[in-house]
Amino acid sequence: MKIKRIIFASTSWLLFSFGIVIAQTPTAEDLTGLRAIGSPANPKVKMSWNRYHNYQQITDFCRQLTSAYPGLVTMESMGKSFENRDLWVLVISDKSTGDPGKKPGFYIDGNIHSNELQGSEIAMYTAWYLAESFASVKFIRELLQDKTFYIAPTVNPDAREYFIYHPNTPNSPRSGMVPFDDDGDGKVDEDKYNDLDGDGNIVMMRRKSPAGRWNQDPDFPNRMVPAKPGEPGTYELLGYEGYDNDGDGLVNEDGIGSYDPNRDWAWNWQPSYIQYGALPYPAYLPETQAMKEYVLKNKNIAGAQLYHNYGGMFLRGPGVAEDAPLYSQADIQVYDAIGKLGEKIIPGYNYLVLYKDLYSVYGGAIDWFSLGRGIFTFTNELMTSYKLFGQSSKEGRWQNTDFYEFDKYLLFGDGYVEWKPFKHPQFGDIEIGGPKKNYIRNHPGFLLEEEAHRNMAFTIFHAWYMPKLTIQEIKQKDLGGGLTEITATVLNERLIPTHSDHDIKNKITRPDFIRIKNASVLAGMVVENEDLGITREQKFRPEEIELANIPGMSMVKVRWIVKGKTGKAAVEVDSEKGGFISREL
Amino acid sequence: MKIIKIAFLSGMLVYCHFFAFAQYKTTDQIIRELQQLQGRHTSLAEFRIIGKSYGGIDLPVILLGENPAEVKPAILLVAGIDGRHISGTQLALKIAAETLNNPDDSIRQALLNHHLYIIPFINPDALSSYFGEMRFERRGNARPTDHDRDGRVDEDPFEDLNRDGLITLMRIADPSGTHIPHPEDERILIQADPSKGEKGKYLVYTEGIDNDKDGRFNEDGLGGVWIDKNFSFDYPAFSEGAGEMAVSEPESRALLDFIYQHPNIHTIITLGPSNNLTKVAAYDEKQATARIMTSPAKADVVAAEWVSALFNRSMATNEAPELPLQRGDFVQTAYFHMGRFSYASQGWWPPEVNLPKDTTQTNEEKVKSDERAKNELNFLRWADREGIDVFVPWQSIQHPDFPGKTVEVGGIRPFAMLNPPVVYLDTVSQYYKKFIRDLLWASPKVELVDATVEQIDKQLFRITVKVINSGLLPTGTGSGDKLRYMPNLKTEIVLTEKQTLLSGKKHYLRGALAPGESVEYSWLIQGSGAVSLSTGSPAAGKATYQTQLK
Repeated sequence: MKIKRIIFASTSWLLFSFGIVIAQTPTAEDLTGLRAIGSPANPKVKMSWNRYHNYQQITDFCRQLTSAYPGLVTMESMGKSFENRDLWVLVISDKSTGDPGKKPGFYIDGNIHSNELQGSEIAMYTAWYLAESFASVKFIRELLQDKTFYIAPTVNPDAREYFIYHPNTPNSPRSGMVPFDDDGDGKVDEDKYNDLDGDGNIVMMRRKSPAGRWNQDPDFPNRMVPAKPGEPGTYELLGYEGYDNDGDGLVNEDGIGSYDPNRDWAWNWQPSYIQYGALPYPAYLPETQAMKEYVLKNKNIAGAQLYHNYGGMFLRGPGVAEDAPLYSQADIQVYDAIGKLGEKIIPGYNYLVLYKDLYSVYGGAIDWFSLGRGIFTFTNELMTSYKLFGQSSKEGRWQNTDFYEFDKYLLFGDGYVEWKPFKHPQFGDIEIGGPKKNYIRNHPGFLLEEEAHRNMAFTIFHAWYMPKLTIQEIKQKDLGGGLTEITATVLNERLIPTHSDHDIKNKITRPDFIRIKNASVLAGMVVENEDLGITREQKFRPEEIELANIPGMSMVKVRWIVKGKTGKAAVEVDSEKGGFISREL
Repeated sequence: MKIIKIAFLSGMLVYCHFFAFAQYKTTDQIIRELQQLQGRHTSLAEFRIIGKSYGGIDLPVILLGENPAEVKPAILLVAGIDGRHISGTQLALKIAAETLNNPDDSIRQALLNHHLYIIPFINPDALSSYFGEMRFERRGNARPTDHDRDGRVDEDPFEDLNRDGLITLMRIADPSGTHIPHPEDERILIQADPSKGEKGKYLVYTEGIDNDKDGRFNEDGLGGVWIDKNFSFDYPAFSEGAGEMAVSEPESRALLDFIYQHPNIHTIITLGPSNNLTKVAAYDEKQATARIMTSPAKADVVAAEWVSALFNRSMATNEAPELPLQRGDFVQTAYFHMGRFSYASQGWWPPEVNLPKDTTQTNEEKVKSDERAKNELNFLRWADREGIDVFVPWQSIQHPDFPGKTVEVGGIRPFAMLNPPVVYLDTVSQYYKKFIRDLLWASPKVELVDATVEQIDKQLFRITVKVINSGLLPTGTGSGDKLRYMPNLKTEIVLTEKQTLLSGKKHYLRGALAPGESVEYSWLIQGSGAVSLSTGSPAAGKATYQTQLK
């Protein structure tokens, strides 16, 4: 019975592998003029990339991709969200070329801020493109032979659903769904936004007032411009749609969440009075717990990109100035090389340093990944007004009219809710109007696919730069008396080292091991300079030489003195972040 | 002959230490005893499990007071965070038991309006090592850890070389030695000080062999994460025992969750090897008002000074050893990140033992006593005086890593310095109960006073009231005032449908009131009939006032 099952399992495995072989041969359809270059011609999983997806659709997508490409894609759950949804991860690697857990891993997640939807679509696009292009694009095939991708489309599914299916602003909710007493009055979430007119949007409230300091822009009615100093205005602005539900004299002061899941990470974590959005203690949320355990478990993760919006930026850490000395020149050079490439790949995006160029963040995921785990990490702030007309406005975000013009000329007014009168129980006669929740921060549909592809390309190059270790050469020298000297040269062909300098200093990732098997080892050493004969002997366990690092674009050499025959000997390179390779002598 | 003597000696030692320490209770026994206590005093106590250790041991709490589940101002007593400190756990259990078993206990009166929560241990995995076959001072939980971060887990543990069941020290006579015997007590080793013309005689390591031949001894044995180094304030990332990240352990999470879920806890007392109670650090304006606050707020220093005076009076002494707070510890996290008053004390400590004066010594001959290893020195003097065996005499052994060298194993017994024979805790528990009782009585207490109703017109009234803190402790901490999700002091008016509020807010929120401090609120109301006012916070209690507008 058991045997039968095994046979069945292995046959199905064969079938799957066979399926991949078929897929690797381009079909006739691929060769016709119908295929647009850069896109999979006849994808097994049909997707439209000009829309957003809810949790069920994301789950279905993950399932479909897994069953379409079993040799490449595995679906697993990092754990459960607060409302008990699985946090899905797609693990993508060519399983026929080695254990995915022993290849350098690249982690992607999206949507940690629930209103920032498109991170999920870009993560999904990346997974889809990798799987659908494996057979036809050599670069992708080789990439998946060497590397493993861990792609989590949404790490905040609860509030993603809430954002999609409840009235919200473009900015709400940023958090998850764990209820908190935001204003310290002993009640929880007692004064949320109110969709006054029931149109599904939370927009702005304005009221005519003799003391108003705002006017309506005559060209763009949805745009409010400040009155000139000394000149009268028409309107006062009263904030987002809502009532004072609890009669405390404040409107919308205790809504959904209002914490920040991206301030919940245990590197230089600081409490709420220092870092707005922090929770009682680091990794308080079930989502953070699950993600952190997942990353700790998958020790091969060497690179990461965390998708956010808005602003068109690739941010590297640190989040705060006091951690700046933790980035060595060598580590910064790696970031610079990748970041600059990103600027080329995605026009309008800038490579920046979080604390210096944007703002201070204590307890952000980016620092936990890069400083807590030694993973080369970027936060990608998707979407920028550059996308609207292919240029950056010379004026600031609040001075320029790009979003209004784009709405007028390309969206035909779909971006905004027009002002309409409303009788408010506390404010009296007001008007409500403003940007719909999916405008400004989230991409308009027709821009989404291009953005997904360009961001994916940046991610792929970052992943490609992760260590690629090869055993360049194994030299044997007869020392006489039955002794042989074996010298192995290991090359890291890529930019990223197996350990960042910060990692080496704090011993975050264990040392790389280069070991010799099936040989009787008398002594082992690191060859520090072969030409000048400088070596450093390792007395404990000489068969397994420890190296603090295998730097990017360079070689290391190790040497053993062995007794007797070496015919069956093999050399293994075993690096947590650099992968596992072996070669016989 | 020699062998027999050693066997006899070690038999004696085992007997002595069994006799002396027999009464310390295992975590199982403690949980059972708490459950039994609760069973006998169901109206005065509630027993709960607040989590599990990494090793799967339940983490208990006992809530004491009338209607223990109600929200009343509370003090939390925590022990057994540092695994070396089992006496604190014993003391906490004793306080719980005596409070419940003795109806005349003076603490009982204080428990009518206040609650006392007791968590006897939060690091049971480490405490269990006290009862292990090979006793060593374990600080961490059961999580397998790579202490020296070399990719190999627990590869260089202790070895009990002299087979006495205890892990002590070993000293190796060596010309490159770093240590010498203490001039006043040869048993103790201190670092040689070249500025005093001293030359080292011994290399000193913990007892064991260098299993991985890396030149370091016992650097990666059973260790786990040191819970009292795993908290979020000033977390020492990547240092020995701190774990992979702040608050990574089920124990530290369980404790912080319990505190977060109980905003009525205004004061936390931690029993462990640290001390901020006998002496209070002076207010440091720069640190207290910096963006990241690293020193307590001014009002909290004032409060701490009073609590410290209360403590010293209760203990009838102020000579407790100075044990500074540590990075990533619970005590500081409880204040800075949980917003509660947080005090720490060692529980039991040996009294200062002064040597009898040498009358033959002239004034010129009197030299200043050597201050090095002061605590060890005093401890051994005390133990000698009390006739307690706390020292394993230096004894030669053969050591594989030091062939041909004189290697001796010995030193103060593990756990001995922090954990006296249980009988010594009897008096101490009386002292602590007195201190806790006084602190419970001192709890913040809000009252509504000087309520006046002015009739301005037939249907127009102004109500004015003062909220005063009549307790001896502030209603909250300066750190708590800054933290989000900490309940504020809320003063609320409830009107009927026949009344309209013309001025004043339905509720006012504010931060801490110092002892004796008051704040005045007033409301202008049109209408008539019953009006009720209330004020309070979970930690400061509740007060109400009812009146008729007529």
